[in-house]
Amino acid sequence: MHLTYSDEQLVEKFKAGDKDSFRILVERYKSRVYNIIYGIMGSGNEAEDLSQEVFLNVYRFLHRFKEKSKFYTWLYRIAVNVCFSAQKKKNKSSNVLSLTELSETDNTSGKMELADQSFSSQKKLEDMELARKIKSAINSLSEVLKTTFVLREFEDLSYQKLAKVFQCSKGTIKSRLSRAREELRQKLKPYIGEKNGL
Amino acid sequence: MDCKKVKKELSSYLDNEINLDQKSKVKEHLKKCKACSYQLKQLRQIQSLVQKIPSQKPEPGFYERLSSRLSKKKITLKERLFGWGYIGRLSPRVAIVASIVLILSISSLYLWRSSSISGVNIEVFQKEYIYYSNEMSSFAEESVLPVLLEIK
Amino acid sequence: MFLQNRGRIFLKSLFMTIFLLLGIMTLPLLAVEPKEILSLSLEAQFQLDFEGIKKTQIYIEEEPYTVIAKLIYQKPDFSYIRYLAPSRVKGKIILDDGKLRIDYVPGIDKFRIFPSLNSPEARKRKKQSSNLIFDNYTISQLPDEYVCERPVYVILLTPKYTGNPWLKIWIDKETYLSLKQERYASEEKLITSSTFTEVYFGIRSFREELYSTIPPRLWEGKKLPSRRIIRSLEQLREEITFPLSLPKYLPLGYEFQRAILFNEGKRVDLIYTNGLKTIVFSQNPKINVRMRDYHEMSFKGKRGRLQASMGAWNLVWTEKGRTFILIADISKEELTKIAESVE
Repeated sequence: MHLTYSDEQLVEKFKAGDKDSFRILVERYKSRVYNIIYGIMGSGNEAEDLSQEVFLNVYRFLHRFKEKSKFYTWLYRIAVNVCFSAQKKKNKSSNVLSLTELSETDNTSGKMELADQSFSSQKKLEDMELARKIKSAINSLSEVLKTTFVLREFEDLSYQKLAKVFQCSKGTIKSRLSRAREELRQKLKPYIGEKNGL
Repeated sequence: MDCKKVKKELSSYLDNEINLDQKSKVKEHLKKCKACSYQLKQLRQIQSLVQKIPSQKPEPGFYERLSSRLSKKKITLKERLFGWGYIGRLSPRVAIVASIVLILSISSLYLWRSSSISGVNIEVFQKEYIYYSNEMSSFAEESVLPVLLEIK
Repeated sequence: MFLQNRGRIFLKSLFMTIFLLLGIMTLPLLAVEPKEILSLSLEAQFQLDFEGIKKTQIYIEEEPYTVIAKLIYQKPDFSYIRYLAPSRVKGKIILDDGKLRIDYVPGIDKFRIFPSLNSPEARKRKKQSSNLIFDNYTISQLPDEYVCERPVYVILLTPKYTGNPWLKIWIDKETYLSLKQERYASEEKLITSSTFTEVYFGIRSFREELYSTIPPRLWEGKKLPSRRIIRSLEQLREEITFPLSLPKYLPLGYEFQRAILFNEGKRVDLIYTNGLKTIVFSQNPKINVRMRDYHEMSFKGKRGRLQASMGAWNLVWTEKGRTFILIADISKEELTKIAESVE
């Protein structure tokens, strides 16, 4: 990377006592972590809380991070574990698995995104509907499949890396993704097809 | 390869996480089988739609909020020494398997690379043309040139 | 008394005339030459911190095609483009930090690294080729206007040779940044029209944020593909192990700029420009070039494949164990002439 320091260099500096390195790592990864957690948990409040928890854990254990793996693999592992714990707590407290859709507002920070001006408003409505259906379908996957799928699709991680993050074999990753995609395909079959010209 | 087997491999084919041998078998099958090709197409569509989901960002001031939580929380010595075990102490067996997988994946990457030199997409040259146009041509539409290829 | 009045009036008008004359004489010294305005606008983005939304309309078929992108410039050599529309390219990012230029499309395998176009070396090279514009174009200035409520110079570039576009550029008076551009195929026919719809001078996005829009795993182990730049044909001949093929014919106004060597000298790209447009002639050992929607084309006994790809012709042919690719934004006749003249 052509930033001032690489992740690993920042970790070294942090271990040597430079607190600002931690801040830079947070700034670098906060959006990615937030986005992943939002994709897994489905709501902004939880995403904020859990993202903070991820970085609290990073702070707590950074001194024990060994450069054997890349920093972000380690970071994502923490994120995944934080999500799993949170989901366990949720399941204990409620009997009904909520399959409700994610919050209606496709709210990004507003700065980066702009409404697609080349589409008619009819198409826009169709797109929004479709987006809702997709998010709902992803949300209905089981925790493990959903987490693996989100990490693969949002972060482009190789099976190798995913196996590291989930501490399992590549074959397990492969079968999880295959199952997740097949479930999504079954759910979304009526909405995707020839005419949707993607 | 029959449809049943191919369908199992479609996901890793989509991710290009499939060995060369399987890959060519799947490819061959897809050429002849409409059903499996259609299924792959559906998977691609879903992937494309998922990619379009807008990315979410935290509210401004994330680090400040984190900072104040950090100062409030007391990190006990015990937590510092005996944290959760996901720092990953690999057992020797896992380490050996992991390194074998790594060597295999690197060598298969070389094989894959060399096998694909013989056939090249025109896009490789088109992308260079766009790069040179940006470099050489004054008042080149910097934001439009890279996109011209995608427009068809 | 009457005479005195007349005298005063005479003196007054004399002084006024002198003032006017002096004023008129100094005006040219104050006004900026259109040539200079253009030169300054080429470097403008590197002197600025800027964010804007740019909308480009491309008129090729019935319906204009719209591209909308967010552009960010930060001193001294950072630029960032993020595409907002159409949906096919939405989310595509081009980040250039003075060392590397990254072209990233969210999705698999759509990540390319190029040498930076913002580096001092690249800018110097661009400046050299931009001088060709002054040879190949007549530059004139039109009355000032306003774009995004900012006063702008309006410069018109008229081509000296046929087959080249007319260009009209609106340049911000304060920063010399080009705010609007129109490209014409002929005097009446508009090809593209590009304008900023929002501008902001200053920093609103931080680089860390912008870098984080590209997944970190893609940065891993990515190196610049090896390429060597050779400035003269003589030097090129020394470097390569095979006889160099060259087009003998070039459209008016085009000059050789440089050659790029790839794959340890097996592939050579020759780059020509007329200041505004580029021609690329690539020669390789025999390879299979995959193309879609092409037409077979014969020229001077050779057979090639021709493809139109939004703005440029791609012509591919193989001869004597070597594969040639010619990419240019010129007429088909000119393209054929060049291909036929290759030795």
